[in-house]
Order: sequence, then C-alpha cells, then structure tokens
Amino acid sequence: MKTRHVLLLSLLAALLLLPLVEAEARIYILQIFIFLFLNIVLAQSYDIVDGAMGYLNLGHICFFALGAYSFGILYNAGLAFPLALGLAVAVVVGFAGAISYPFFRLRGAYFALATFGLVKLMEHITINLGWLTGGSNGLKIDPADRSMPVYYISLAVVVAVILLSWRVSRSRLGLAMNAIREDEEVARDFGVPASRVKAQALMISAVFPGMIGAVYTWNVNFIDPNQVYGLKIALTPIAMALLGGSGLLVGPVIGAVFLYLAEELLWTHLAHLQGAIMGLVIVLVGLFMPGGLARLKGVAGLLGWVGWLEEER
Amino acid sequence: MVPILSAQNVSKHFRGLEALSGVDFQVAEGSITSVIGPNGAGKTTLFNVIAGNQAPNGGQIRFRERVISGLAPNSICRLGIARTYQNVRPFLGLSVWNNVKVALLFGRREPLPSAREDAEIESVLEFAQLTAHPARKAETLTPLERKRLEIARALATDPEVMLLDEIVAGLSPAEALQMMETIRVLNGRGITILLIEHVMKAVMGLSSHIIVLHHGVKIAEGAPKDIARDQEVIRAYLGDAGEEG
Amino acid sequence: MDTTILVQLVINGILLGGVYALAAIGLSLIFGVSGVLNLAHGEFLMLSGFLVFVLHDTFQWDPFLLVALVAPLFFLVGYAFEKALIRPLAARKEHVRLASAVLVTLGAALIAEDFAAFFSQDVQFEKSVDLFLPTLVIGELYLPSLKLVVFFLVMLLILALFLFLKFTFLGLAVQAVTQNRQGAMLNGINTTRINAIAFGIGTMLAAAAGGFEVIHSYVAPNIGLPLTMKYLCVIVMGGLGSFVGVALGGIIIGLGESIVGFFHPAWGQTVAYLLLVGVLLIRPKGLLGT
Ligand SMILES: Nc1ncnc2c1ncn2[C@@H]1O[C@H](COP(=O)(O)OP(=O)(O)OP(=O)(O)O)[C@@H](O)[C@H]1O
Ligand SMILES: [Mg+2]
Repeated sequence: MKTRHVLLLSLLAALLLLPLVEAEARIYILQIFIFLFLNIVLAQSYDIVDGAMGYLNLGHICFFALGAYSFGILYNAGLAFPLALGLAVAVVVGFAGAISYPFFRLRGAYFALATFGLVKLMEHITINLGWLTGGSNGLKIDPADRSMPVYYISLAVVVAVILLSWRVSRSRLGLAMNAIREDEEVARDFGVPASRVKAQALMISAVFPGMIGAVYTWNVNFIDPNQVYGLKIALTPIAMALLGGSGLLVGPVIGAVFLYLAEELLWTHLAHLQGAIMGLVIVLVGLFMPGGLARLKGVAGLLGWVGWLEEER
Repeated sequence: MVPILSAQNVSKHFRGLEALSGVDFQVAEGSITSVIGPNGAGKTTLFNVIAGNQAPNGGQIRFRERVISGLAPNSICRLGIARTYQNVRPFLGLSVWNNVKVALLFGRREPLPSAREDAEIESVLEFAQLTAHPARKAETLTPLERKRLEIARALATDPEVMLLDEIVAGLSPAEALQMMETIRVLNGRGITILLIEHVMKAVMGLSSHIIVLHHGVKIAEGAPKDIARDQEVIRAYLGDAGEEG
Repeated sequence: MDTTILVQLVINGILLGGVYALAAIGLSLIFGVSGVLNLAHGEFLMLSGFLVFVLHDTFQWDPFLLVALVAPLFFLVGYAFEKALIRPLAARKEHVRLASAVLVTLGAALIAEDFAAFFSQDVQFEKSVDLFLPTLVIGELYLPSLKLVVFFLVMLLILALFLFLKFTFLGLAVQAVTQNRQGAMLNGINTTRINAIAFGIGTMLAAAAGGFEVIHSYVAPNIGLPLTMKYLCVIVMGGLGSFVGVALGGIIIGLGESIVGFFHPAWGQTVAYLLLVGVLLIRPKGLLGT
C-alpha cells in the first residue's frame, strides 16, 4: 500500500475512533465535527450541479430543509428512524426530479434567481403550513442526545458523498454534465440528452443534503424555518464550495473545512461583527480566488501527491 | 433513389426578417453538395434548421423518408447527422480527448462496446491530426487545431451526413488544400457532405452539386460549371463576393 | 365583499408598489447593463434610510430635503462599488463570473447588515422619521397623505429616469449596452464606464427609495436581503430591461401583497416569491417580455 493511502486511511480511522475517547467535552467536540460534516456534505453535493455542470443552484439548501422537515414529520408520525430517513430522502429526490424540468429551462442568472426565490418560497410555505410543520414555532421531535449515532452516520454520508462525486466524475453522466457546463447547445448537438442529464444531476445532488437534513433533525431535536432555510445556512455551503475550488473533486471539502474551522476557532469568539467578517471573507473569495484554495500551487501539489484528490469533476 | 437529405418548402423568419423562404433541395447520398451565397443569405440558418437547433416556421426536412424537423438536436445527431460551426465551438474547458469522447458516447446511433471506445477515439484523433496532446484542454489549441477538432468531434458520431459550415474559410492556402483533402477522404468513407463555403476554389474543386441561396431564397442549383455560368448567380453573388475565390 | 374595502386595498397596494418599483428599476438597470445579480442592492436602500434617519435626528432637517441630498451621494457609492468589486470579475468565464458576483455582492450585503446592526445595536431595531401629515378622508376611503406625497415623488423620479434614457446621449448609450453589449462596444461605446454609471444610477434610486421608506415606514438592518429578493421578483415580473414592465411589476406585487395580506395575513408576504418562481417558470422573459 502506498504512503498516501495509509495517510487517508489513518485519517478515517482517527475519525472513527474519535467518539471513543473519554473527555469532559466529548459531546461538544462531537457536535463540532457533526456540523463540520454537515457543511462538507452540503458544499460537496452543491458542487455536483455547479462545478460539474455549471448551474448556480442557490436553492440547494431546499433539499436539506425538505429532508429535515420530512424526516421530522414522519418520525413524529411514529416511523422508525431508518424508515423515516429513507422516506425523507425519497421525498427530497422526488422533489428534485419534479422541479428539474421547469427550472432547467432557465439558464445563467435566471436559473440562479429562480432557485434563490425558491428558498424564500419554500420558507414561506413551511411557515404557512402550520398544521403540518408547526409553522414559525418550529417542529419538535422527542428530545434525546444522539451524538454518537449521528456522528457516525454523518461521517458515513461524508465518505459517501465524496465517493459518489468521484464515481460521477468518471462516468458517462459526469462527462455529459461537463459538456453541458462548457456549452449546452453544442452538447445537445452532439447527442447529449441535456434535460435528462440535468434532472439526473439535480437528483443526485439532492440525495445527500436530504439525508443530512434528516440526520440534522434527529440530532438537534428541533427545527424551525429560519434555521433550515435561513440565508446563512443557504449560502455558506456555496461560499465554501467556491472558496475550496469549485469543479475540483475535493475542492468543496477543503473549503468547508477551512471556512468552518476559521469560523469556529477565530471569529465566533468575537463579541461583534462576526457576520461582517464572514461577509468580508466571502467578498475576498469572490474577488481574488475564482479557482479556490485547491488550485493554489502548494495545495494542488499536496493533493496531487495524495492522488486523485486533485482531479476535476 | 431517395435523397439522403431533403428540404421541402422550408421557411424560417426572425421577427420581420425572412432568413429562409420556401427552400427546396435534395442531397444525393454519397455526394459532396455545397451551399453558397453572399453573407446573410441564410446558409447557417439552413444548417441550424437541419440540425434541429431552430425549428422551421414552415416546411419539412427529411432524412431519407423520415421527417426530422421538430426533433431535438440530440436525436437528429443520433440519426446520423453531425455538424461543425462557422465559429468553432469546442468544449473549451475539456481535454481534446473528452471533446471527442462526448460525441462518441452520446452522438452515435449504436453505442460502441466500451472496450473499443479508446481505440476509436484514438483513430479519430489520428485522422484529425490531433494525437500530439490528447490531454490538453481545448482552450489551448490553435485556430487550425480547433477546426480539426470540429471535424474530429463530428466524425466521432459515426455520421452518415456531415454539415460543414465554412470549415475551409480562414485557413492559409496550404492548410486549405489539406482540409479539402480531408473532406475528400471523409466522403470516400461514404459520408455524405453538405458544405457551406465562401472559398470558391474549395467549392468548385470539391462539390458535385451546388445550391445557391440569396436573401433566403434558392436562386439556382446545379453542377459547378453551370453555376459558374449562371447569370442570376453571377449578379447576386459572384458580383459582390466572388473575388475571394 | 364590500367594494370600498377592495378600492381601499387597491389604493394601498398601488402606494406600496410604487416604492418597490423605484428600487426595482434601479436593480433592473444594473442587471440589464452588467448582467450582475446585485444582491447588495437592498443594503444601499437600508444604509441610505439610516443615513436620512441619523441626519434628521441630529439636525432636524426636513426629511425630503435629506433624501435629495443623500441619494446623489449614493450615486458615488454605487459607482465606486462597481469599480472596486464588480469590474475585476469582468474577464472571467461566464458561469464563474456569475458565481463570483453572487459571492461578492452577498458578502458586501452581510457586511452592510452587520455594521448597521452593530451601530444601531440590534438587527431588528426599526428606525423611522417622525413626520406626520393628516390622512385625507374621501367618503369612506382613507388616503394617507404622506404615502401619497411619496408616491408622487416616486413617479416623478421614474419619469425623470425615463426621459434621461430616452433623450440624453448617456441614457441612449445605457440602453444600447442593455440591448447588445458587443454591438455597443463595436460602436465605440465605453461599456466599462457605462457599467459603473448604471451601478451609480441604480444605487441612487435604491437610496431614494430608502429615504422614502424611512419617511413613510421604517428601516432596520436586516431588511436588505429580503428586499433585494423582492425587487428581483419585481423585475422578473416585468421582464428584464423593460422599465414600464418593472414599474408595473412593482405595482402588481404591491397589489398582491395588499389584497392577499388582507384575507390571509400569513400568505401576503409569500405572494412576491410565488410570483417570482411562477413567472420565471411560465414566462421566463417576464410578463411583458417577448
Ligand atoms: N438567431 C437569429 N436572430 C435573428 N436574426 C438572425 C438569427 N440568426 C440569423 N439571423 C439573420 O438571418 C440572416 C441569415 O443569417 P445566416 O447566419 O443564416 O447567414 P449566412 O448565409 O450563414 O451568412 P454568413 O456567410 O455571413 O455566415 C441574417 O440576416 C442574420 O442576421
Ligand atoms: Mg453563416
């Protein structure tokens, strides 16, 4: 086995063993990782549609929120965890399939705009359907500390989303998505069934946020519309993907780790202007790093040494 | 014999502008047929209508007996009609290899067994003289290489008909001769060629049949020597754009 | 149902929609010229509202006079904003440019909101200018005269913009760039400069709307992004690039909110987003677009 594989596997092993360590602040530490995993999943799955296919889906968070709510409702209806989880994911993927055809008639800024509007629309609908969702009072499930299973499931979802991105990037579908990103009309002219490809891509990108949304509800026991549709949670994963390097296999992962840790370690300790610092970081990313962290020389070299990580989607 | 490609009374207008009006033509299987006409005559529009990029406002396009107008471009490509663009449009961010691979995977009537894909891509690249750097992104190619990539991509779909939009234009005389030879070889492989060209030497040298468009109307057609003598063509076309040939 | 109530709701809706239209026209101008979705647009409105409030609070000057002073200032702000943050993105590939612009304007929006919240000590703290004008009562209809004055001024500004675009050289250049960027460039129009000017004018209109908001309603640090979303709804309704359409879009959304909100208060605020998504899906080029 090569050194780099040993390295990756030891990282995974360390993450697997982490919850077994006895420590005062164990739950706190687990929760930090759980939210890191959440961000990684959102950023990485977002980039399936943006980085690989060139569509700016500002409504990616809808999949997460819908997963969170569907799960909460089904779980409260008495379904067992795995069943509620599975059904929630099915709802989300069905939703992605249903919105795909109308939304993908739009391109560029119009697509971004419509998907951005979708976030607000879904939020309002969630608020207004109080009988189902609890409205702005939120939705509770029976409270419990589930840090341990949540940690492992989230980690598994992270691994799955990375492996799936990798699979897609080497597949026929991935190539078709790339062609659509470069020039959709030409792609069609050369036989790419663009509508179907776009629908498939959107559905694939919806699976994991749907799943992690369900897990989120299971973990925090309480959700409300502002929490799951809020602008911060809607847009940070996108910023992470672009910061890390959109279009690169693990770019979004790098961006998520970097931005999340920076936020946790640095400016959450400030009393004021946390939002402004976050904003500043986002502005700087937009201005100076169209390629993202993963395309910086040093980082790219390191990834190249580990192998396949530097690959494009 | 049924023509491989034909148009019946095809019209296309953009707001007030008649880009094509009542165009009829037939392309014989195995031929090299040229479409000529001054700038803005409607030649590219005709290609767009054939390839399914734009729906005609009236009339029909047939591929053999089958009416293809109204089909999506991806279906038309799979039927065996491949095109190139007047302004080349490679997938800039993809490698040369993947540019061809897209066409190979999605554009063919029958998918190739995956074991033969790589060999086929290689042979297409070799035909188009692009074997040097298959991993290079298309954005790094020279204009000549980009034209070759257009050919390679079209060829990878294993087409019966190739629509070549000004593929010779803009090349140096030596390159133009080479490109003409390429077209002849393609035709020799049994691919019917429909060619838009301003370069008269290429048109006259290659084609067995010529269709002349002017302001969206077909004003003449026939063998090259007849077209060269046709008074109306000379007035409409050779008068103002013919010198370059 | 009582027709008086309906007439009253329509009047309220139109008065509400007027201010939407003003700011939305600004955003539409920016999008039309530069192709950038400016997510910071609502922040300029919010900031200008705060500025008017603070100046009024400190010097007790007439708030309408303050709007006239503050809005032109925001022309410079918009101009500088374009120069510093949008222009550097121009050379990127289209979808990268779009993503970068979303990031940059969004980041700017977050900064603006947080600073406003910091200085006013609360995100939701609502500031408004205390200005009272008697309500006109005609029959059973109530016409808040303050809103009427604002509506009148809004219409005046829209008319001024219309004349500017129709009859000045600069205005025609702006329109040319909106319609065909490449063509305008080939005709010797300095598109880079027009971009900045469009941002300036658009931002100025947002600032004027912000001043009006603080006069007849209120501003708070966190109203920026939701308002931007609403303006995006308005311009999508009207069809990008059509000023009459956008003005109409503003009124339609104002009407929708006023009427739906009367019967189902909770759904009133949903109207705009429903229209945004609905219109985009059914008529991607807007209600009046072709
Ligand atoms: N999408 C379009 N919208 C509006 N007008 C168009 C469009 N496409 C082409 N036209 C117009 O239709 C006419 C025919 O254009 P076309 O591109 O087919 O000409 P052409 O014969 O290929 O000319 P050239 O030799 O310059 O390539 C032109 O007047 C052109 O401006
Ligand atoms: Mg042409």
